[in-house]
Amino acid sequence: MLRTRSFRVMVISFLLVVVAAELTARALAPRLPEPQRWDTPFSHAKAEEAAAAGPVDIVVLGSSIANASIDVPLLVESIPWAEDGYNVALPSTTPRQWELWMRDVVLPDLCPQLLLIAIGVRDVNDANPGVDNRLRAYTSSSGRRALYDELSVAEQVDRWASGLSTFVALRERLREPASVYRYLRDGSAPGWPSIELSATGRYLGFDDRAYADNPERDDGLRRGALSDFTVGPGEFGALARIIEQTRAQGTAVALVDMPAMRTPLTAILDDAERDVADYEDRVASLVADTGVPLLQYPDLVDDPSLFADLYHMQLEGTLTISARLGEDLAHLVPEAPAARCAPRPETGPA
Amino acid sequence: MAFNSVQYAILLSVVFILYRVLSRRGQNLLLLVASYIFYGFWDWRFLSLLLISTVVDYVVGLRMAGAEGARRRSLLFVSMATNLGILGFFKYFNFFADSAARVLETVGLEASFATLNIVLPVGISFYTFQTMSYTIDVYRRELEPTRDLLAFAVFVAFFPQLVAGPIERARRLLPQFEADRRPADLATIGSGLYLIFIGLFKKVVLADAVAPVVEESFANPGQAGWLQLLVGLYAFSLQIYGDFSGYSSIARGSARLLGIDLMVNFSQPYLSRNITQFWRTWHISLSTWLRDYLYIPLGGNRGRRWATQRNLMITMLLGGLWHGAAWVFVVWGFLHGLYLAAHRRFRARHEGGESDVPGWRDVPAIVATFHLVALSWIFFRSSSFTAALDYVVGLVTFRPGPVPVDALLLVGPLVAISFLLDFAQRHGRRHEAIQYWPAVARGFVYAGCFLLIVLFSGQPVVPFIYFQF
Repeated sequence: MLRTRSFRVMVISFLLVVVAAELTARALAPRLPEPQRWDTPFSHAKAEEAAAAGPVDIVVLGSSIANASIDVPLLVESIPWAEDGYNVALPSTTPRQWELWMRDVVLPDLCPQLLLIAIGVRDVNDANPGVDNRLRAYTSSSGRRALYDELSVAEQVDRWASGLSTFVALRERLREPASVYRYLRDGSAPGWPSIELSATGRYLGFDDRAYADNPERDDGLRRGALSDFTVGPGEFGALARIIEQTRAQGTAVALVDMPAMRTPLTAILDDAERDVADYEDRVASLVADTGVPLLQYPDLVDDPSLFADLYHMQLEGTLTISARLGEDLAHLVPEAPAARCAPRPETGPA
Repeated sequence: MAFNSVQYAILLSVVFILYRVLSRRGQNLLLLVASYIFYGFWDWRFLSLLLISTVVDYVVGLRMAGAEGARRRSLLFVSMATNLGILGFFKYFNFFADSAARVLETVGLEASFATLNIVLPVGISFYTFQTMSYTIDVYRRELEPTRDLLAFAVFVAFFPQLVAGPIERARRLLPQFEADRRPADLATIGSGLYLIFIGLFKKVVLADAVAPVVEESFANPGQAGWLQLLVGLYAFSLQIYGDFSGYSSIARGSARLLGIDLMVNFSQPYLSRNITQFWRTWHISLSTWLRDYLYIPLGGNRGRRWATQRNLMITMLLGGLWHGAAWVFVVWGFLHGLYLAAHRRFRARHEGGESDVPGWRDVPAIVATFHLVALSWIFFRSSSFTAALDYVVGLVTFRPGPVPVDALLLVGPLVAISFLLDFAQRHGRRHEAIQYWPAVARGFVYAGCFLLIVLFSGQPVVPFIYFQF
C-alpha cells in the first residue's frame, strides 16, 4: 500500500517536471531558430519552403552568386505568363550538388515551368577541393535521407518524438543555454543560423556592401574554389544532365553566364588567359550540345558599383541584372511551357 | 552493437523475455547465441578468437584436474601462450615492431620491420584477461575446473560485460551460470533498470555532452590557451569517468535483469582522498586483477621497501600498456606507479576506508588527488608524447587565450552534477542510493536525468572509449 502510494507520488513528481520542461520549450520555440536537418541553413530553409510552398513558375538555380544576385520577383514581373517563383540557389555549391538538389527537391516539389541556371567561373572548377566534403554532408543530412526513407530506426524514433514534443524537437538549441539567452536578447548567437532570405529565397546579406579589394579573400579563393583551376567533365557534365533531366519533364531551361569583377577574379587563376579560354570553350560546347539558350551581360562586367565583392552583386547590381534577365527571358519563353510535375525518385541519386 | 543503440535495446528486450521461460540450459544457450550476435555485430570474423579462447581454456582446465607438477605448469603455459599470443599479436605487434625499429635507428642501425594492417578486435583485452583468471585459479587450486562447456562459453562471452568489462573472476561469475536461476523479481528488475538508466545518463549526459570540448582542447594543444586546456582536462576527466562507469553500470543493470550479479567496477573514484584509494575505486575489476595475478606474484609488499616500489611500478607500467599499444599509455602507467610509490612511502597511518563519506576536512585531499589523476589523463588522451607535453606546457605557463565561456558553462554544471551523484551514492552507501530517497525527490531527480538524456541525445554517436582497449 505504502509502496504503491510512494510510486504514484514519484510518477506525479516526474511528470510535473517533464510537463514544465515541455511547456517552457513550447513558449521559447517561436523565438528560436528551428533545428537544422539539412547540411546548411540555406538548404534547410529552402527545402522546407519548397515542401510547404508547392509548385511555382520560375526557379533560379546556382551557387551563392545566384543566391544573392537574382531577384525572382523582378523576373516574374517581366514575364507575362509567370505568377510566382523561387530562388533555389545554394551557397558554396557546384553543379554536381545542384544535380542532386534538383532531383531531390526542386523538380518534385516546385515543378517549375522555367529553370534559369546561373553559372560563373567560381562554380565549375573540377579541382575544387571542398566539393566532395560538401557533397557528403549534403547526401548524409537527415533532411535529405528522410526524403528517401533512409533514416535509421533511432532517427525515425527521434523524428516521431520530435513531432510529439517541442522539447525533443528543439533540443539541439536548448542544450546551449548561453546561446539561447544571447539569441533571445540579441536575435543572434555565434554558430547559430542567422540568414537573411527574402520571401522568394534570395540572400539579402550582400545588398548593402560596397566593393573593396580584399587580398585575404582572394587568397582563400586561390586555395579553395579556384585552386588548380580545371574545367572538365565533372561540373559541366552535371550541368548537361540537369538540363536534360529538367527538359524531360517539359520545363524550359536557360543559362546565364553571371557577370563578375572578371579582371581581378581571373588574376587569381593559375593561368588567367588559358583558364578563361577553357571556361568559355566549355560553356560554348554546353550550349552547342544541349541547345540551351545562353544569356550574357558583358556590359555589367568589371563595374565595381554593381558588386559587393568579386562575384556577388549588391542591391543595385541585383536590380539591374534581374530586370535585364526578366526582359530577355520573356522573349526567350513567351508562353508557359506546361511542364509536368515529376515524382521524386524512389531511391536517393548517389 | 553499442549499449546506447536501438539494436541493443531490442536484443536485451528479446533476451529478457525469452530468458524468463527457459530452463537453465536453455537460458545459457540463449545467452551464448545473444552474446555471439552481440559480438558478431562488430566483426563476425573475430568470433573465432572467442571460440579459440573458450575451447583452449576449457580443455586446459579439465586436463589440469588430473595433472601435477611440470605437466600442470605446461598446461598453464598453453593457456597463457594462447591468450597472450592472441592479445600480443592483435594489439601489440605493430607497436613493438615500430618501437624496435626506432631503437635500432637510434644506435645507427637501419631496420625495417614489416608492420601489418591489423584490426584490433573489440574487447580483446577484457575477455582474454577474464579467461586467463579461470586457468590461473584452476592452476592455483582455488577453483574446480568446470565440466559444463556451455556455462564456460557463456562465462567467456557474456554479452553485457564482454567488450568492456567488468573483468569478472571465474570463481565469482562461472558458478552463477552453472546454478539454476530464478527469474528476476520486480525489485531486482527495478534495480537493474535503475542501473541502466543511470548508466545511460552518465554516458549520454556526462560523457558524450563534453566530447566536443575534449576534442577541441586536445586537437591542437600547442595553440590553445590555458583556460581552454584546463576546461578540456576537466571535461576529459568527466568524459572518461562518465563513459566507462556508465558502461559498467549498463552492464551490471543488463546482467541483473537476467539474474546475474556482476561486480562493482567504480565506486565514486573522484571522491578519493589519495591515489591508493583512487585505485581501489577506479576500474576495480582491472586493478584487483592486476593485484592478484601480477602484483602479488611479483612479491607484492612482502619484501623490502624498494622491492614493493618496484612491484608497484611494474604493475602500473603493464597496466598502462594494457590500455593501449602506445607510449603515452606507458607514461600514464608510470605516473600512477610514481604516485602510488610516493603515497606508499609518505602515507599517514590511518586514512579511513574508501567507502567513508568525505567531510569538509577531506576537500583539499580530494581536490589534490583529482588533479593528480587529471594530470595523468593528459598523457592518456593525447595522440603523442609531444602533444601531451604541449598540453602540460600550455597549462603551467598560463598560455594566453580566449575565455571558453560556452565550454565552461557546459562542463562546470556537469562536473557539479557528477560529484553530487557520487556524493549521494557514497552518502547512501549503495549505488542505488537514489532509489531510497523520498518519492518526490526521486521523481524530480529521475525527471531531471531523463530530460538531460533527451537533451543530449540525437547527436552523432560517440563510441565507448574503452571499446578500443
